[in-house]
Amino acid sequence: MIRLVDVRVDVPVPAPTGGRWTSKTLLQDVTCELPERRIAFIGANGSGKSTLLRLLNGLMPVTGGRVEVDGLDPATNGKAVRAHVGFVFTDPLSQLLMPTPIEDVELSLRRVVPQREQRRARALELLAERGLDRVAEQSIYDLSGGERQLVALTAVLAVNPGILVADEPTTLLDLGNRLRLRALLDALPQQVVVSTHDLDLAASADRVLVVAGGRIVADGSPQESIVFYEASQR
Amino acid sequence: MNATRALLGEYVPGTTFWHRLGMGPKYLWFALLLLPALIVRDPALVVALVVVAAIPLLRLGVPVRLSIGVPWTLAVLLVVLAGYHGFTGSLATGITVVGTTLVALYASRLILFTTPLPTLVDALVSAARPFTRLGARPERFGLAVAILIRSVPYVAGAFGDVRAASRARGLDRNLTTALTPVVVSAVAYARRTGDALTARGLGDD
Repeated sequence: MIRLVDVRVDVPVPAPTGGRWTSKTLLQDVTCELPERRIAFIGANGSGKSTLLRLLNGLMPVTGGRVEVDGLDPATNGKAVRAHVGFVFTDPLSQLLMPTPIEDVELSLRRVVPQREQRRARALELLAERGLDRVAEQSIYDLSGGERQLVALTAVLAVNPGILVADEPTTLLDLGNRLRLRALLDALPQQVVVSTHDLDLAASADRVLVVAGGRIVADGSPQESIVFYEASQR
Repeated sequence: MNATRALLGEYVPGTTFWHRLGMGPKYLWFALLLLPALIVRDPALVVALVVVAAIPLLRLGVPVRLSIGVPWTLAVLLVVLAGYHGFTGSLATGITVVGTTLVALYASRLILFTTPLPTLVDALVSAARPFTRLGARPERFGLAVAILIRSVPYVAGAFGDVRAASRARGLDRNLTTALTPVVVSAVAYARRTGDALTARGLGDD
């Protein structure tokens, strides 16, 4: 269970007049529990969606309030939380740390499969499940955007996290790859929390929250929240 | 050609003698080439070592421009170094400095071309294990080296990207003005890499 209680996130920014630093509020008064299997956060650029998602695995600390992931605080139990929460970034190149897909998946498996040969075999097996075995040895720079995102997802899911958090995972993908990734996310056994501009992806969630100005301004069924969001953008 | 291949090279699957050789002998070969160049500092010896370092690269089946080719940015740097030493009356030193750099580059490439990165990381982690009692963290050390191998060519490539963007916008080709965007890009890349490492729990051990 993901729980946010009265969460506030402030960050230091240079003052407009120069010289001194001031504070900018990215999130405030955020309180919610997220038990549903599929949850989507939607909102305009700069609304605070990504900041909110980054709280869930300790990438961003809170300034006030608290975050709990299955009873654990990401700020004080980051290691335990990150073992349970997989995170997928918008740009897979930000996330792929090794030159080839198989090496990147092997990197994820180092913690759970000590033997090199077994690790390699398991990595190849995981890539094959996503149809990526034919590109396993290719440079990540030679892969398409869709293939990179699938590799990034495979590397994150390799350690079987209980929760998958994905920050705008379809933003850089063409329609075909968006559809493919959407189907893949929907088939996962994990709880999936996404932030997205893809309203079709949001429509497939069990619950959609709208973020604006660092606050949750709507929270309900996909239909209700998407209608609210579209109306707010006109 | 991406920056990784241009500078350090990437693993090329194969079954050559060097592919089958273990990491220990490869590191020994690296040391046998580089240490004499660094210690003796004789130009004739260094030139001979450059040739010796290049020969196995040429036999890997990798295109010549990738095996022994030098990115133009590095080539310019080496020419400037050699020219400086030649101009100041020490051409022998110039040859030694440039030659030693090439020996190190070619010897490194041989390891990277013929060794999958996970194997390289495993070897580094094993080498660092005896230092655990001194507080060393072998897994973190191996990961740091792997990230370095991936990151240095990225930053080098960022310079090319900035120059291309400047040209596309018809802007000044001043090298100094390109430096700020490159530094900003490098810092942003470092932050993204840090976030990715944290998110994947790597380095939490």
